[in-house]
Amino acid sequence: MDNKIYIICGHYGSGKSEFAVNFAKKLKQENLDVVLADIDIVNPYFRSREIRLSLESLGIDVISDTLNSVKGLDMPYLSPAIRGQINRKDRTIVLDCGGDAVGCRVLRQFSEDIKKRDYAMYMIINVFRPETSTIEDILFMKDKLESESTLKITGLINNSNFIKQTTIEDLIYADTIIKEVSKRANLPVVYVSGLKSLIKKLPEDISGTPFELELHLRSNWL
Amino acid sequence: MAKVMMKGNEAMALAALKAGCKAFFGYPITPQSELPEYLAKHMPKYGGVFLQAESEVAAINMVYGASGAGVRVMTSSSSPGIALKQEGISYMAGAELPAVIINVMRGGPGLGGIQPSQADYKQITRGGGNGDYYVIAYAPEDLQETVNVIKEAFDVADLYSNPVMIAVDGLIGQMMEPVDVDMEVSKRELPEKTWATTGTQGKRPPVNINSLYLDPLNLEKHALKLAEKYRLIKENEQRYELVNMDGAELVIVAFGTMARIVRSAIELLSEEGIKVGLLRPITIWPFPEKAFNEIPDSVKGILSCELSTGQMIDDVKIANNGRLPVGFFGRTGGMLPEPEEIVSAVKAMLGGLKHE
Repeated sequence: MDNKIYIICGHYGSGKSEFAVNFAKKLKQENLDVVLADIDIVNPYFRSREIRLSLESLGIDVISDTLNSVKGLDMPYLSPAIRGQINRKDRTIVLDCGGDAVGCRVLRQFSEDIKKRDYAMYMIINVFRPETSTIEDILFMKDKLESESTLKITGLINNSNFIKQTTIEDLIYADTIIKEVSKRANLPVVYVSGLKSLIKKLPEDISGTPFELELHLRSNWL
Repeated sequence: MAKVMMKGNEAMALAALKAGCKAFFGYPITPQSELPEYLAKHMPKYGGVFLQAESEVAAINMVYGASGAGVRVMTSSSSPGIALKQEGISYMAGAELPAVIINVMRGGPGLGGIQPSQADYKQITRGGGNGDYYVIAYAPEDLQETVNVIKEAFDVADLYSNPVMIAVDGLIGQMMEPVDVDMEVSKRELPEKTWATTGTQGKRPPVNINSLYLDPLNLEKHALKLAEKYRLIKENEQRYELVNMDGAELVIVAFGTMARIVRSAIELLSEEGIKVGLLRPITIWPFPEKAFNEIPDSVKGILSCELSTGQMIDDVKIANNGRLPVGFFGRTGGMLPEPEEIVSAVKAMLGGLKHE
């Protein structure tokens, strides 16, 4: 993969941050110089900045706010370093957005800079979230994410799950919906993501490249 | 609706709508703001009223008004906001008005922080405002149980004409979990709200909703009537879960998120051959004193585990009534322990007991 900007967006609670963290680790394993920007200023829980220290120990830079907070800061502002990183063509940047259109609004200030680079904007979808459970709802959400960010979504990610209770049948059912979204929106299903135990058992005809997730933000006991 | 994935705050809001809640008054505060946000969007579809008040104090007084008119009503907030609502809650208890109040607790005192906490335990279980009163308080541990107790809480509030609080911490508000919001819960036989200010239609004398009793003899009568109600609630509404009690050497008392961490600790301990039980209060008021009678003779001590510096431990000691040594483990300020920390606390306590 080349150095580019990956934007991870979607409905809130769809699993954006867990995916973004796993994706940043995968890019790092491909020997890219990776920076993860947590630009979620909507919600102060379960954000990727919470594991900044462990990501930094893997060589992944993490930026969010100027105080380099890990947990607990409830202030809607971003580090100015984010714009600088977006313009660093020698680095790969993963932008972990806040949920819904309001989470994507943050992107608008960077959109002209982002458009100058090769970027991918992935919409994370969990069809078991009540507000993205139908084809129409997902397409509506996609339009909102695009209009708020002034950027175009380039791919879909089937991250449908009930966390540890997810079954293969759940992912196959989700695939039927997301396949139709893919057709209507003319967008590829880039990945189908889930816990390792599940991803190993996926049927071959499911859309998207299988992507194994390790849960980093959710404690084992939860 | 089948099983769906929801965030705690959303699921709590939807549970209220499913329970027939027709009015919500609130004011935003982290970590519960998604709850009013969800209701702002969805309440109109259910034919109800959502209103963001100018403050917590205004919101709770709007709850008083709606409840007085016989409407199923709810408010929600987080610790500092709940503290602001205490005057209104005391007035509602005094005027015998039902309502459901959700407290998504964060660290304190004062503004504290925004991470999960159980440090409002004493405020919740001792009434919280002025005067001789209590609020019934549920402290569920996962989203399914939270949804179920909210649906039941509206009935319980109506049954006893008293505010009911749902005491969860920020983590339960913010976490995702599969949940079935239409799961059946037990329904109560409810009296008609003959006291509600719904208009006399010229057919009955006006009713008066009030917590002011200037004649001390009347106020004493009123307080004794409330006390009798609270005695009944203590008798009938204690709820708890006992886990792994058979042959346990030690019992941990924990509720909410802490109980979930304790469950993992108990598994780790059993791998080492140490048998530990969990006594999980589901109501924190009334405190499940009855559960302590079920602690078997094999148990040598009780460990109160809390997300505070130790508030429930007093109730544990009262319920234990001097029978067993009582220890404490807690993290506070928004910090959550790892199960291993509880494992260490259990071993330390068992070690100490052997030397006695």
